[in-house]
Amino acid sequence: MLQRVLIAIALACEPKLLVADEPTTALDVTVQAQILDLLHEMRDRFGLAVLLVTHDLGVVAEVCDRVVVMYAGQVVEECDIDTFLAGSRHPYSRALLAAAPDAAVDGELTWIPGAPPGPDELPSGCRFQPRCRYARDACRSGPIVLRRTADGHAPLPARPGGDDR
Amino acid sequence: MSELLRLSDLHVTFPGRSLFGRRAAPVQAVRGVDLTVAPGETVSALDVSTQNQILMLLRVLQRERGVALLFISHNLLAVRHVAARVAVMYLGRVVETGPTARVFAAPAHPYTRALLAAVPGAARRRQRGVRAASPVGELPSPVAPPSDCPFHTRCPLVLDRCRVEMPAAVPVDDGGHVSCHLQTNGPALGGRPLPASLAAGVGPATAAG
Repeated sequence: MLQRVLIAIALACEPKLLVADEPTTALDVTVQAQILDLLHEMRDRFGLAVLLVTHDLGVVAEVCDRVVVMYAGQVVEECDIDTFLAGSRHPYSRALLAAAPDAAVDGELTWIPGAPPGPDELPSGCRFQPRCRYARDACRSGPIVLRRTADGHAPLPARPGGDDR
Repeated sequence: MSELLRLSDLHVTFPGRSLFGRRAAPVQAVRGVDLTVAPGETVSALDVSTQNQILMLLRVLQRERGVALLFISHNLLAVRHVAARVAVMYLGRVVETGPTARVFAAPAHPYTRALLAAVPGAARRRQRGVRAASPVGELPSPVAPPSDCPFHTRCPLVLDRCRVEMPAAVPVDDGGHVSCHLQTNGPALGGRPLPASLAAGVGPATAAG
């Protein structure tokens, strides 16, 4: 109920964009489903764009059309949802998808060795490089830029100064 | 504490301060006791890689140290990984208990069934609009919960009796208990209570009407 009131308040001035930051964290999944359905309905009825910020890949898979993956404050990948689920190319995105619990119902849990950096200890270059198994020197020096991939429809992370892996 | 962290191979992964707090809490709670309560929603709002590191730490505590763990979560997939037994609560009341495998494979209570059907993911995206028998309406106030079955206001299979009488817990095949009139007084399909039939994929998907 509270979430619905908040959404109503946010929509009262008829915005073009609704930023929903972890709108369903710590809700029971039946209520979560109602909130997500509501966001969908608002989108369709009012032509509203929704920017959903979440850690829940299940929610992303269910409601999002486009995905932007961030790590330690850096955008590392942007693509449409089907491309993301079927063939994400960024090492962090791929590790996240591999670690998603429903992918390992009876298997062992997987994770990326190491931990995200604190805000005062951000590494140089690509912020994921200390934990990335594909990291090389260029990743540690230059800034990362998003590079459009050969298949055209999915802008993907560039390896700084490098070609494909 | 470092020994426990070594057990789960997490000692090298420790610098993030917020993570320190999250990981340290269950570990510290466990010193010298046989039961620990994982901090509420231990793994919410973490990326799934970090979630899995923490779930693994909890499992190590269970298996290597023989610690009993009470894990409170809305994350059904995490529960499935951590728990041997599950108690499903609605409005402060336990509505179903049982071995994790049985509860996830054959949920006996309509609320449990609704929870499992509502787990977000690509499958639910595809089913959008054709979902059946999902609970509607608002959660009643936990301060003044209904005196009858707490789920009756949202239950797609509600009976008249559910509105006047609290169901007692009855045993379920393959372990556990469920508190639901459908198990004892409700309609049956092929001799089985309706929730069990629905869980087994038998019968109409829109039995609610």
